[in-house]
Amino acid sequence: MNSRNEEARPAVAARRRGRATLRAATVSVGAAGLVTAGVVAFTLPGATATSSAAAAKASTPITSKATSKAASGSSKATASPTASSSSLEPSSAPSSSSGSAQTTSGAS
Amino acid sequence: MGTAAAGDDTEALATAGWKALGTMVQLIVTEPGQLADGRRLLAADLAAVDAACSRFRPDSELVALDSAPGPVEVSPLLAEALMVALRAARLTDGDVDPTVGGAMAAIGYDRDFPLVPVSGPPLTLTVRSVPGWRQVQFDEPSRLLVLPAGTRLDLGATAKAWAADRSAARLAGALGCGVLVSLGGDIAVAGAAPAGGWRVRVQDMTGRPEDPPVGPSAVVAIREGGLATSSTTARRWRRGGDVLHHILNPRTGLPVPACWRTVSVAAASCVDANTASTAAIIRGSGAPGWLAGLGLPARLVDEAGTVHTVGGWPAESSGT
Repeated sequence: MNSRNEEARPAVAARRRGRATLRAATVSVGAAGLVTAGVVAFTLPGATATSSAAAAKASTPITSKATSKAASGSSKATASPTASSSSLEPSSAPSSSSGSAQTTSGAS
Repeated sequence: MGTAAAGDDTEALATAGWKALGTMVQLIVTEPGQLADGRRLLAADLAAVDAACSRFRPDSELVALDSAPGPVEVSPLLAEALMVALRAARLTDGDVDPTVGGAMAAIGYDRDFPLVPVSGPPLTLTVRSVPGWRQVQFDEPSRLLVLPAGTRLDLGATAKAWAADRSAARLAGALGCGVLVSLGGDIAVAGAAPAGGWRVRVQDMTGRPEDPPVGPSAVVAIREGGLATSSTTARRWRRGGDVLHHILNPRTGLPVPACWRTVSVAAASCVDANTASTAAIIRGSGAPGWLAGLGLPARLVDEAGTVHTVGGWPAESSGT
């Protein structure tokens, strides 16, 4: 292994530790959690819990450096219904209209 | 801000317009007396979204993530925006990927678009896949986020549409009337629609309805959900001999080649409509089949201006 890789080792180890802690927390969520494809650990409300073997073995409690600034006027913690659905949801088709438009939709 | 009644409307609609989130905001309500309150509520919602999600404000919560060394607890608002963005990535197989922030900055889109120089010296464009949404680790209950080193998020593909959905629902509930919220042409409606539905003119570029459209256009009416349009004709700039635009293929980190100049989609929500319209631009020739398979009504305009419709979108003659 060259010196560059040697230098990278601590950073890689730290990142792995971070992933392990996050996996542990995600697994503890139970039915609300979703872990996909080993390195992926994001959750969506209503998703079915699955986990990798590595994640299942992890038990270290998650710790937070909590450096965020809460946005003013923030929303409720609940996600929108959209965030929980598992497909792009169609609506009834638009109807053709001959009237004058009330608004426009294009790129901006 | 003012009250407007279109010529053939049987009921008055009140409309207000201003700028926020780097784009044009339009609010329409079916009860004119509710417009002032609606505007106040919407402005507050958008200010909160901007503070959480802006890629261009140095004091935004999103920008603070760039220098965060490890797991970060994000606000409930940014958490919701992140979940929406990650869902969009998953449902489009990564076509709409929130980790394009670095790639977007690399091609020159690193500030509010009006401040991006229209032309500039040549750039060395490197084909390089973005970090990828699968590398984003987000735990919803704790709202803890871990990003791979160097990853910069860009929620631009979903945040405006999600904000439109969120505010339209909130305003309809608070005001007790029909509401349309348009954020740069990403349109969400809620509450009781006016007679005949909400009439929307789809076109290449969002503009004032009283102004004539540039390029092919059509007027359609919606009663629910959302409607969004994505286009490579907007947000373009030049570096050397290359014309660049803001819709990137996450697999290359570069603007997608021309296939569709404009795609409009109607869906159960504005964010689903916008997710689909953006992905359709990226999918190119495969887009009509993909949209039809999802049952999403859509209108696609190719580079020659020919209009294609799928999913029950009203047919029209090309070039209207």
